[in-house]
Amino acid sequence: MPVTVHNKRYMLKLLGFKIDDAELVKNIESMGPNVKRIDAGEIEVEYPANRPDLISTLGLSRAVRYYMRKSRDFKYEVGKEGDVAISVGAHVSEIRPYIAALVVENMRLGEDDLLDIINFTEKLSSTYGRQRSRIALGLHDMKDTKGPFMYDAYEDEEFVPLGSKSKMKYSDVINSDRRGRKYVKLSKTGARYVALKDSRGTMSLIPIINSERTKVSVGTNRMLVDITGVTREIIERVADMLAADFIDRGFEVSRVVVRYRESSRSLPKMESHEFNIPLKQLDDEIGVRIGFNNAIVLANKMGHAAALVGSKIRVTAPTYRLDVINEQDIIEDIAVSYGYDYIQPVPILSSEMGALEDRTKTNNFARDVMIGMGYGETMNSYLTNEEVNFNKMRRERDSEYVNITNPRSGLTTMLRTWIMPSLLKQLGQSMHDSFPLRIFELDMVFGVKKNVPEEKYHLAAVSCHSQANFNEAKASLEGLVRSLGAKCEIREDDNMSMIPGRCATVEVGKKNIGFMGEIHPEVLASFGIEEPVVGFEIDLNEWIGNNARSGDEKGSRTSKR
Amino acid sequence: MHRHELSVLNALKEKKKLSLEQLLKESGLGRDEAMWALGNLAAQGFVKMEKEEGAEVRISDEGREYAKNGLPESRLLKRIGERGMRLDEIGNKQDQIGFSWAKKKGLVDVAGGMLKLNDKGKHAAYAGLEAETVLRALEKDERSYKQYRGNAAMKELEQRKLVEVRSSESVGSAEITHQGVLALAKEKQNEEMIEALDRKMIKSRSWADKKFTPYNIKAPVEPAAVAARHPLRRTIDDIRQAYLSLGFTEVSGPIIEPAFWVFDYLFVPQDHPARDVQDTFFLGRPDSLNVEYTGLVDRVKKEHETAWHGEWSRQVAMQAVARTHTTSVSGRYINKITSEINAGKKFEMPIKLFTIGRNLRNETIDPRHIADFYQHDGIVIGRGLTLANLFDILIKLYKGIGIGNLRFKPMYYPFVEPGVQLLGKHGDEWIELGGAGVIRKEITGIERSKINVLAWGPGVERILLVKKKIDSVASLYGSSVGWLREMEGA
Repeated sequence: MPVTVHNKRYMLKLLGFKIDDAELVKNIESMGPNVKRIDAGEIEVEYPANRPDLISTLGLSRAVRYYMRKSRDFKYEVGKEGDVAISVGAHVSEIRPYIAALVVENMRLGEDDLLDIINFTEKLSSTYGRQRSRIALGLHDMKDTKGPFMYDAYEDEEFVPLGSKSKMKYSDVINSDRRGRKYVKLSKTGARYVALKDSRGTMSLIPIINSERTKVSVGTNRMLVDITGVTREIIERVADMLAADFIDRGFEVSRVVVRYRESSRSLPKMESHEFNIPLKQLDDEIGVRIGFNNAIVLANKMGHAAALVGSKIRVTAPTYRLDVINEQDIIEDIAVSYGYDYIQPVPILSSEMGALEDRTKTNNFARDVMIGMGYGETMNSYLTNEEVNFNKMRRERDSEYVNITNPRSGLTTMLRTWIMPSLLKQLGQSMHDSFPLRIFELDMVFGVKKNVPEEKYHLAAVSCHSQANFNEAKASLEGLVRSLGAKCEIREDDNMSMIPGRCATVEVGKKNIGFMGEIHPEVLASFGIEEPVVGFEIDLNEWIGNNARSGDEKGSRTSKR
Repeated sequence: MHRHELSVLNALKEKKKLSLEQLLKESGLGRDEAMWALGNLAAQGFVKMEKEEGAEVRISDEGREYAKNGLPESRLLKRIGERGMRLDEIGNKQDQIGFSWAKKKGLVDVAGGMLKLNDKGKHAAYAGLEAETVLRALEKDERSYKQYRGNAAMKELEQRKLVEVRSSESVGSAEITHQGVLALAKEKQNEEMIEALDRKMIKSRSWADKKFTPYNIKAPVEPAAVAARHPLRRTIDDIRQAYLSLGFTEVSGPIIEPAFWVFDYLFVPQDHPARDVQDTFFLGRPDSLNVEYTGLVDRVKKEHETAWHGEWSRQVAMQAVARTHTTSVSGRYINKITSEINAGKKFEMPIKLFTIGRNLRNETIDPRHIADFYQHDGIVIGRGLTLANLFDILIKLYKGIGIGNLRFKPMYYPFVEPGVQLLGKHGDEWIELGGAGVIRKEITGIERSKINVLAWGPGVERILLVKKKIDSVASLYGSSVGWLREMEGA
């Protein structure tokens, strides 16, 4: 979960009542967020990713006030459209087509308010805004602005960016600034750059940096907030959320007209969402008896307006709750408000018997047999790289393995096609342990044929000590196969990973199921192994049980696609 | 007297004193046999041994990695170079380790947010660090330890746990004593005593009028190297047992999936951070995979576009990925069963299924981090299932796994509503075990008043870390044989 650090003194001021640390933490955590730290000066809170309204200190203290029944019904009214209108040009349509905006009037900003608002918008752009790609926000002091306002993509031109003393070109801002380089893809379309302008020039190079001219400060009295993005519904709901935040700070908000070529929007819309939920549905889904009065109080505690309508409760979610999609979200709120700690567990009545998959039983039996023969079980990563899977094993690289396009390191570029290299790697790390070293692994390997993935269970085993020889491996292999109810044939073979004349393929019922033999000394050296190694690896899918492993009834993994 | 002891005494009788190597040659015994016999004989005062001191040097995985790629601080010195480096460029853990050692060794100066090499640092960047030279020498040949014993660089390597040194003693030479000579003579007279019991003696009862030579039952032995199931496998099987005892049936599903089953079906929006290339392995071969249910794909597209507003891309959903959770398996079965219910099939409700399997997340791999992890996922599909039912079944399940004290906290996951985080008590601490909740109707496509699905998908390794006190999950995978043997008693 994302984290914000709140100034505790400011939070207490916004709460408007006295509360000790323990009580505050308890109330915050009961609503869902986690308090990671609280000390004399700060509270560090993890908030759920779907609740951006809890990022600001205002938003968090508002939630606490409702939860503790210090606030009741909400009322969000915004003023009529004033003189502010933004026209949207044609050049943003391919890159960032939408803008929403609102004007905040009669502001009296304290130092703390300003910091909280800036933190809020920054964090909103980076988390909920997916690093400004989904939404980005700008705050502008309107003192030195003059309409008309325009949102479009413009050719390279000059303005004074925030924090700078002199004029710079858009292109220079992007090249000289780390953020610029990070967000250039979001700003540049052909030879043009996304920007918000008024008749005096650039207000913001979007989504990178605002202008020094419109910098917001403690003295700001009238402020324009712009929200840009790629999805109209999302930015307009964010505008609603911000408007509620400013109104709860005691400021006034008035509407802005956004003119697209085809239509125009009057924002913020201040839409609230209403749900009628039968009381019985609440009881049935949560599993406790709630009652009408209680249901209304529980909804109020989460900030919703609620009233009784026949046998249903009508819940109105406040405009800042971006996470509410339908009644399921309200029911969760009521369950949270009731308190998970107070919900009495209720058993499910069921007399069905459980069962393991056949595969699990066969695999565990094969593991028991290997352990009985003195091989210790080991587990390795499914991930490997071409160096280990092929080169170190003296094997040609083929194109039938699953490869990864975005590995974070060179160690995880593919899924392993066999287990043997993993075991040899482990032996190489075990040269200081007492001999003999005998280990096995029974787990998955992967392949791909004609874009169809294969997932199979293999069993590989190795024995490493000064007396290790072909017959030891053969004896273990035959013991295993016999205990699994089959008989295997050994056939001469060459295998680049093994010593010529000391390796073989393994067949069950004329079907090739694997190989066995003595590992080639060059392979041993490449893994740092200093004693001889014999071993085998067999495919368990080829001859034991079935390999239907998917959720559909269409049969095995490979035939399905 | 055992025949190995006799062989040793006979070999020493002529020459009086032999080195261990000579003794092995003369007696024809193997090293273990000779050591065992010498131990017995010395305990009875029949031989005298001279010990030789040695040391056993072990380089940790981290040490080997540094020997190959250089110590973190020397990598950092190279990056700083002539030009210096901004402090905020110190990013990952390796950088931080490097920085703290470079500072400790007085190789860098910090001023105005910049990191610069001082004279000592420049020299080190040019000439290399002594600790690194020693580490490389040891990695090449551990016998070079003798040369570095006690020096500062060696101490640093030991302190950083890159190298572990254990002193050892071995036998240098052995010599027969006067008592030994007498014992040997007496042994010759006692040839009638029974050394090893054999088949013939047992059948003929010829042992009845003879004595057995007594053994030294206190002679030290090397404990047998036992073989056992892997500790993680044992935990997985414990969890399976708990599910079985609650009447759940095991299912499984693919690891290589189209993103659809891992994310889209589970109502995870296409721009959700979990789908980022930083977290999920995207596959190049296979590159994309189909979902056979056309109607389902269309329904999922509609649900996403209604709820998340953005445009839903079929191509993004069909991208092949390595699954990042086993909840994809739960999803496949929720779909299978709800679509059969929609088609009129009758089931005995509730249906209780579980899966335990491996998942992969795009992690940076180092000695403490690994991309593989296991998760166990359970679902209960039925009518009138409640949050209170979910709590009850989780409490019982974890009791079966051995975690008796469970708590539930509100938590957000896109696929459930209400969402729950499980916390388990370990000592005085509440640790996060994973998530649970009631599956959203957008996923099942059926009103909850008709069908409800309870679901959960906590991690497995976490349980093992708590119960067995392993310090990092990475040590569970690809460990040395020695580590496995140590874990067998745990």
